[in-house]
Amino acid sequence: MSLVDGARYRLAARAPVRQRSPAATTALMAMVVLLAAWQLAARWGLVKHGYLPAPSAVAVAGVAMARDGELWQNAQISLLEFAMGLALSIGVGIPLGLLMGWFRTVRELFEPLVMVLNAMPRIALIPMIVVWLGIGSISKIAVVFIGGVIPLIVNGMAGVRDADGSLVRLARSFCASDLQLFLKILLPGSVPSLLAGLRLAIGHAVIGVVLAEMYASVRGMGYLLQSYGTNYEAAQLFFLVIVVSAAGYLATACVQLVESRFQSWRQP
Amino acid sequence: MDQRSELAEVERSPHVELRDVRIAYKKPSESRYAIVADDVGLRIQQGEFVTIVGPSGCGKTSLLLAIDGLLRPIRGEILIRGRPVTRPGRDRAMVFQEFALLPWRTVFGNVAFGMELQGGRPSPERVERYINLVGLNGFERHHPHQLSGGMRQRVGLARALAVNPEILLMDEPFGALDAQTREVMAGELLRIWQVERKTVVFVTHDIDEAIFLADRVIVMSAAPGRVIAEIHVALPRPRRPEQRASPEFAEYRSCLHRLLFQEGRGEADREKAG
Amino acid sequence: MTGLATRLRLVRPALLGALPFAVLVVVWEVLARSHVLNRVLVSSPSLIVAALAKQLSNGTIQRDLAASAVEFAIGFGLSVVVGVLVGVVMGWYRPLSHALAPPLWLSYNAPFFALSPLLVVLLGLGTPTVVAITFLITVVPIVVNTAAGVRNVDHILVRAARSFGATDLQIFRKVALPASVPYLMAGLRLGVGRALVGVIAGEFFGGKTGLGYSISYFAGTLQTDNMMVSVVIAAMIGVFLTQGANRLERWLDAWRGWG
Repeated sequence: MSLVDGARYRLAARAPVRQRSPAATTALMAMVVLLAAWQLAARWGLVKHGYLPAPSAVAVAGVAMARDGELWQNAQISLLEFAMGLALSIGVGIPLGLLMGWFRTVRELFEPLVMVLNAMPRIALIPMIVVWLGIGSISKIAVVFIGGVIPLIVNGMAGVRDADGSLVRLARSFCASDLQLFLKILLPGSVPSLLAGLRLAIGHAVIGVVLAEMYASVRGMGYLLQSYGTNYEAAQLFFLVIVVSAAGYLATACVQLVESRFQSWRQP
Repeated sequence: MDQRSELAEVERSPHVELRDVRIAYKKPSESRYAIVADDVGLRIQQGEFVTIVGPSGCGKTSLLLAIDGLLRPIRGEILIRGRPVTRPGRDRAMVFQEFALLPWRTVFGNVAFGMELQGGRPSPERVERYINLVGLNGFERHHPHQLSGGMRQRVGLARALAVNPEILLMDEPFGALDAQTREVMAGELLRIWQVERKTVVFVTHDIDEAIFLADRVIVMSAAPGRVIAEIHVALPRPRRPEQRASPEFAEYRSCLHRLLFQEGRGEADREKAG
Repeated sequence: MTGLATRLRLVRPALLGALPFAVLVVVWEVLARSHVLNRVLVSSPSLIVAALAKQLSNGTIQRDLAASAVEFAIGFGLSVVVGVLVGVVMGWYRPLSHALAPPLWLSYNAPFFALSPLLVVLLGLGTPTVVAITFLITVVPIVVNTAAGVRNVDHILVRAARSFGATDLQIFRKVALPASVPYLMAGLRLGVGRALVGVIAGEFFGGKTGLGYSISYFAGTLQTDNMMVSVVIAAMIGVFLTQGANRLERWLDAWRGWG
C-alpha cells in the first residue's frame, strides 16, 4: 500500500511538464468567473448605480475610444514621455550606479543622497516639478526620470559591490588591469542586478507618468483618466485603468523574460 | 671542473623560494594582526610537484595566494628565480577551489579568458588545444552551469595552462568534488603534467591525494601554520591508481597521518582549554 | 596620533556624505538671495526654515502628520493583514495562485489613484478614500511575496517534517512560516514604500488634509516655501520608515538565528 503511494508520489512530483496547461486553464476559468460575477454585480446594482460599470459597458466604451482615435493619440504622448524619461534615467542611472560601486569616494559622496531619494515617496516632488517646469511634456519626462533613475543607481551600485569575490581574485591573478577587471568581470556580473533595477524603474515610471499627467496636463493617458474621472464616466475610466495596467505589466514582463534568461547563470 | 660546478649550482638554485615568510590578517575593527602562517621556508625546484597538507586554517591557501602575488607576507620574502614577488605575474597561474568560472561565458570563452587578459586576442587553435588536453572537446559551447563539478575544474585547469605559466598554483582544486571524481582528476592532472612539465604547488587537505601527486609533501601545523615536515615521495612515476593500494603508499599514509594527527590532538586540547 | 587618524577614517563617510547636502543648501540659498533663481518658484533654505517654524506654531504640520499617519497606519495595516492571509492561502493552494495570477499581474502597476473620483463619491472625501487607494496599491506586493515565500519552502524540509509525522498545521507553523519570513519581509519593505506613495497620491486627488494634500494645495497656490516644508517632511518620513523596515528585517533574521 505504502509502496503504491510512494510510486504515485514520485509520478506526481515528475509531472511539471503537464502542469502548465492546468495552470493556464485555471487562470482562464477564474477570469471568466470573475468577469461573470462582475457583470452580475453591476447588473444587480450591488455597488451604487453607475460607479461599477459592467465589463460589457467597459468593453463598449473602450471600442468607442479606440475607434475615434482619442485613445491612441493620448497613449502616444504618454508613451513618448515614458520612453524619453526612462531612456534618460538609464543613460544617467546605470553609469552613475556603476561608478558609485567602483569608486569608494564617489560612493561615499553620493550614497546618503541617493538613499534619501530612494526612501522618500518621489511622487511628492510632482507638484514642485510642475511649478518649475510647467504642465507640458518636459515636467512628465522629469518625473519619469526621477522615478526611474534611483533604482537603477541603487542596483548598479549593488551589482558592482556584490561582485563575486572569487572572480575578482581570478582576474587579479591573471594580471588584469583595473579597466579589464571592470569590463570583463564587474560589468557583465552586474547585468542581473541592473535588469532587476530596470524592472523597478519601469514600475516607478508608469506610475510617475500617469500621476504627473493626472496632476497637471492637457493630454496623455493621465489627462484622460483625470477628465473621465471628474465627469464620473466610470466605464471609460475603468477601461483606461485596465489599459495602463496592462501596458505596465507588458513592459515589466519583457524585462522579466530577459531576466529569466540570466537566471540560468546562477550556479547551483 | 669549474663549469660543471656552476651548472650544478644553477640546477640547485630553486625555482620558487620562500624565506621565513609570515602571513597575517588584520580586521579593520581590530588593531592586532592574526598570524595564519609563520616561519615558512621552502625551496621548490623547477619541474617539481609539491603538495602542501595541513589542518584547515593553517594558512596553506594564504601561502599559495602569496606565491601568486595576491597577498603580501608581512615578513620574509618570496623569490621566483631569485626575484622577489610583488604582484601576480605571467609566469604563474592559479587554479581555484571554487572554480571561479565566468558564468556568462562558454567553456571556450572561459579557457580564453586568461590569455585575453594577458594580451590580445587568443588564437582559437590554442584555446582548442587546451580544451582537448583536459578532455573537454565537444563542450566548447556549454556554459559552466551545464557542466558537472569535475568538468568545471577541467575548465579551470585549461584556463591556467593556456597562458603557458612556468608555475601552476593549485588551491584545493578538487576539494569540491566527490571522492571518485577526485581520483580521476588526480590521474588526469598527472597525465597533463607529464605533457606540460610545470612546477606545481598543490594545496590539499587530502592525505592520499597529497602522496599520490607529489614528489614532495610539505606538512604544516595548525594555525599559525609552520612547516613541520617535508616528505619525499619515492613512488615510481608515471603513477597509477593501483599504487594507492601498495604497502609503500600505506607507509607514507600512516606517516602523514601520525604527523597530522598529533597536530590535530594539539588542536583539540586547545579547543578544550579555550 | 593614530587614534586621530582612525577617527578621521571613521567619520570620513559621514563627512563626504553630508557634503552634497551642504553644497545643495548653500548654493540654493546663494542663488535665491542673489535673485539668479526666482524665489517665488524655487524658495530657499532659509525661507523653508521660516515656513517650517510658522507651520509648527500654527499647527499645520501637526494636523497634516496626524492625518497622514492615520491613513498610512490603516491602509498599510489592512494591506498587511489581508495581504498575508491571502498570500498564505494562495501559496498553500496552488490552483488558487493560478486563478489569481492574472488579476494580480494587472494590479501590480495599476493606476488605482485614478479611481479617486469614484471612491470619493462612494466613501467620502478624505481618510476613507485615501485609505482605499493606499490599500489597493499596497496589498498586491504583499500578497505576491507572501505567496512566493510559502510556495518556495524547501521540499526537503517539508518531507522531513512529514516523516516525523507532522500535521499540515504543524508544517505550516513550524516550517513554512519561518522559512517564508525573508519573502514576507521583502513584501513588507516594498509595501511600506508603496503605502507612502498611496497616502501622498491619494491625498493629491482625494484628501482634505495631510502631507500630500498640503503639497498639492501649496503648489497650486504658489506657496513654494510651505510646499517644500511638506516635501522635506515626506522625505524624512520615507527615510524613517525604510530604516525601521530594515531594522525589523535584521531583528527577524537574528531571531531566526541567521544574524
